[in-house]
Amino acid sequence: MKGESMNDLKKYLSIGKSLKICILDNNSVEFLTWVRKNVILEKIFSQYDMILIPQWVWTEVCDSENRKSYINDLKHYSKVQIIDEVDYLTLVDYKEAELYYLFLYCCYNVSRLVSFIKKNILKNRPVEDLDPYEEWLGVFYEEGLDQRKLSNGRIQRKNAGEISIAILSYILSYYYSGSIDIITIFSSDRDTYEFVSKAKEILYKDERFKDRSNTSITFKSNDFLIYEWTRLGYIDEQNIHTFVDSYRQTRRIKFTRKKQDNSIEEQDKLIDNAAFLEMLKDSTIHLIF
Amino acid sequence: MSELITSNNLEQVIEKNKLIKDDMLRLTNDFTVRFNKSGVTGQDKLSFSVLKENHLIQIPIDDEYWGGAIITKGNIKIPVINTAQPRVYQYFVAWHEIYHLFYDLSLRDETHNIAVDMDLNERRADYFAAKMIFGNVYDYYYSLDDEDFIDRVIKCMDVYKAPYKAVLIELFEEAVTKYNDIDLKEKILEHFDNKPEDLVQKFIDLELDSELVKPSYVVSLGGLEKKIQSVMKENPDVSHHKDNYQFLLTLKNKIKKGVEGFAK
Repeated sequence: MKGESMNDLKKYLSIGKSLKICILDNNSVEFLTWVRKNVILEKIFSQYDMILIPQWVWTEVCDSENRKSYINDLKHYSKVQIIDEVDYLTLVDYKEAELYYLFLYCCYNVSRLVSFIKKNILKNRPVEDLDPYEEWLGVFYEEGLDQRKLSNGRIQRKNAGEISIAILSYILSYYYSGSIDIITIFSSDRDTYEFVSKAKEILYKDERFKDRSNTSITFKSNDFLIYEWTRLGYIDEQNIHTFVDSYRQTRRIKFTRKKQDNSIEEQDKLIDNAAFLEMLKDSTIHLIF
Repeated sequence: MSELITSNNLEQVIEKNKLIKDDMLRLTNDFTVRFNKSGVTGQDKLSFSVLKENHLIQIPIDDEYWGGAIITKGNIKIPVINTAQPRVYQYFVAWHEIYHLFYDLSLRDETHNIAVDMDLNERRADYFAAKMIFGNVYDYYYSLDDEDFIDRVIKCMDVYKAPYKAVLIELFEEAVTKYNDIDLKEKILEHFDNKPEDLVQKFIDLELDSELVKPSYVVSLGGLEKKIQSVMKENPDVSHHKDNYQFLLTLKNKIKKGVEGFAK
């Protein structure tokens, strides 16, 4: 997406409406293709004004025809846009230094990347003297991210999708907070969650960002979606066992539970399918991730 | 450490010490009460074990003037010791850094406290280190039969595991402030700027363990390996912990390879 359409998007994001934005991660798209027969796309996405997919995630989506066609079908129901990372600069109004910090903070969990960015991108210079964004973005993608050759011949860049999603969400959160109400990331990847959480921790302390208004970023993991669908009656009670057995595996869940006195307990636990089915019946639970 | 101490400013150093003596003695007591609960008796072991609890990084750096530091990042303070320096220095630096870690006001405040006299602050750290290391070095010095001044000093170094100059400063302070020992004072001034060149050989000649005056070249990254291993175990579905573990091992190997170069 270049030039004109990028400016259209910026305009759309700045009109002051209470926008609800959904950002899709590859693993969620995969999950959604599995459950497509059970829950129709419209039910999941109609509440969002726009669905965004960063280019680096889109590349991964395209490794599977199923995922690709799911997104293409989604376009009939909702506004879907794939955003090239190069265009992040336009979205932040060409504030290159700030974009640099967003990259750095969204990579903070991976020491090797932080070291790479400082050594090969910042190169001991003040942030004002950085190479042009497009240039260093290329260096980061080509040389910074670990790579692995997939069976289809494509080179996969490790963590590219997670990092790009985290940066895009913070761009929306900080630069368009006036017109965006909701930023929800559909992802079941713990790394994505941790990248976003770590960046939040640092941004809240950083002088450049800490006093700015921002829209909070939330998640819908696969488990969250199943919980939500059960509550909404999209999956009926007879089918729920089969559904969970077919589409879910033991996974760590972060959630809260309301106690008898209304106080809230936080938990982060490995939950197998049997325990998860019990959780689905419990309305005092809120899944965080 | 503080300004370079030479025979010319030795007297001033002693004057400065007088100003901070009571304070530093109070801190050494405080330290023993608060941090030596297990009753560790070797001062060299005690300082390192306390620093290790604070994620001490031990790393050989090819710089004879850089003994160690406290690296601060946000609220985190991490002590670093240069293991390319002879062990005696490391022991002294360890106590010096303990002062900064626990008692240094300029590091304790979140904002850097510029009102602190940095020179005096460094003197405090050195004096704290000396007070933690030395017992009654003056008496020990006089208990030695050796006629040779340098041999006696070396034996003091061996017993207290202290650097050459630190021994002399401590002796000098006692000679000046307590015993008015003009003879010893003169001897110290005469030898202060001429540290024996081959301390290792001197130790061997005196049948002492010369390891003390050699570098240890220890590479230890603050218990990070264990820490990452444990979070990896707790969060098997998070891939970046594995990445960080690999990265740490790569770094460690790199450092070790680099060390092989200058350890020879």
